Amino acid sequence: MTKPENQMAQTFQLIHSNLERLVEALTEIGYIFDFKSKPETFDWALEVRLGNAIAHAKSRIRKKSNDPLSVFEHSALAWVRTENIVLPRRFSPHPQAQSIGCVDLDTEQELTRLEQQACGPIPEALKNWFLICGAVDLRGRHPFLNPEGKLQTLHIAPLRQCIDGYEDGWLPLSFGDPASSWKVRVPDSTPDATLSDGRSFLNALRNAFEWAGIPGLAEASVNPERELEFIRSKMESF
Amino acid sequence: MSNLLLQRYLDGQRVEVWKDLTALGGGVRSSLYYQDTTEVAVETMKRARHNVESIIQKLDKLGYEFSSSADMISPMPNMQEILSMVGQAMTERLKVPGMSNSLPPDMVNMPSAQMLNVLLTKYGEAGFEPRNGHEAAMTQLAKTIEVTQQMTAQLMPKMAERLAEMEQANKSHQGKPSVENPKVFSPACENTSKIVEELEKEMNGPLPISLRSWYLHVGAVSLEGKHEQLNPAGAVHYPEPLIIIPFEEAADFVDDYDHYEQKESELLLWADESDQFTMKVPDTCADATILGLEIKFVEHLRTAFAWGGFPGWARSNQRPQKELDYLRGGLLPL
Repeated sequence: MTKPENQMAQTFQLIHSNLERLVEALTEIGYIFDFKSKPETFDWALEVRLGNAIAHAKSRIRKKSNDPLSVFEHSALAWVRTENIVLPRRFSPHPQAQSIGCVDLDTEQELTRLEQQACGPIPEALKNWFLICGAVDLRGRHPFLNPEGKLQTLHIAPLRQCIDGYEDGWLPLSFGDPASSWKVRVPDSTPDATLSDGRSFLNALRNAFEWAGIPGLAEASVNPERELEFIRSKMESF
Repeated sequence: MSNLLLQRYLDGQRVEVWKDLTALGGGVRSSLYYQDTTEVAVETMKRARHNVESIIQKLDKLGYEFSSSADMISPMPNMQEILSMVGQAMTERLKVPGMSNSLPPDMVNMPSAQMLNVLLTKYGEAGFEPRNGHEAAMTQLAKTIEVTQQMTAQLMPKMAERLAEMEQANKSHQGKPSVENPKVFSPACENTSKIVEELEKEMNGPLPISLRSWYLHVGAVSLEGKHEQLNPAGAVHYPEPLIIIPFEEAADFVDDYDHYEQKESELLLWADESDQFTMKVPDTCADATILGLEIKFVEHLRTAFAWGGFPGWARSNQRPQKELDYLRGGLLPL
């Protein structure tokens, strides 16, 4: 990934930093992320394929590495990358493993693919989001912030998944409840993207951070002032 | 910043507050919640202490005869127990077909002590040379019995000393209210805090906040005892009198687990004739599950107080209702 140097890129570096602080702060105060707590669907075929390939690669690698993910560099596991396999959580921080946030390695190619598919440009803000921040999933539970785990949280799916859902000039950013899921218009030549509810993408992100990554709190009956104050104190404005 | 959690607790949302605290998991240790959680736990355990003292005082009035669970779990064996155990082992041995031919025919039916003497006389004499495998086994058994007797003889003075201490303690508490008897209620002291901290350091992690607060603000309690209605001998349903053993004793058991290098240790809370009730430690949460009961510690206390200190009555249809109503009257809700 080339290092973005324009102002928009700097803004998204700040957003990325905020995301990291947000996840850390939420974890500190006992937020239970669905990603970590809910059981994942077990794909037996994938497990067998991975198990065999990893065993073969390990038997052929002469130079031992302390990095457990280095095995994925072996040609026996090249298919993981070429087929863009979503790896089980235990392979985190592999960029293709399911996690709270991650950036796909082939984001630039995917963005080009999207532009070709949409026959027009992607807003700079959106490009920078996928290049710097990638995907994020803050769905989860907390007795004061999200008591039943039903409030809308900041959730942007991996780019490939978003592209798969592209239809009629709209790029879905998350999936699930249509009322709370974000989607943006593509193509769009403006620097900031526009959400289907008329808000700018950057403003929607600002609003999400204002509510500790749980924008659904704005309309909820609960008012966790202390928690919001605690988390807001760790955020930087952008 | 005012303590919203404590305020909610005081306003009556006691169950909800503990539910929220438990849902926070290790998050209760964050700067945002730790102080508040501790204050809620202290308030809860102050109420628990009031309840424990109230129940003990009322049990005195009901003529309840307290005994001490500490005596029951004492690691010190007595002579009679040792002889009985050896005697049983021998009896089993003598039942093995083909092995009792050279023994007196009525030996199997002898009382344990008499059987020991016969064995020692026949096979324990100095210079006795066994002529076959059976005699070799009997000689080995005789030596084992001899060593056991010697060890027991060494323990006897200590046991006698301890018995004397116990009798003295009993005498000194005669006529005094049971709430002042440390076998029944041993309130937390300044030293407890130090021992708790030492154990937490040793375990490289904390006790659940609820249990820590119990040890620091309540102490040890044992409602073990006898009463015609409340705790009758041979009752179909064991009334499960409330017992939490002293922290010092519980900490000793944790040491034993560490000795075997178990990653997760268990802290013994109490034991009855058939089961041990423990809690996995360390645990960063506000409250933790009692293994053996599978409910949280605070919930167990609530249930125990709801049944006047005898939660086992919850499973019976024929309860001493009058006594239970008397015991739970005036208790503070947790």
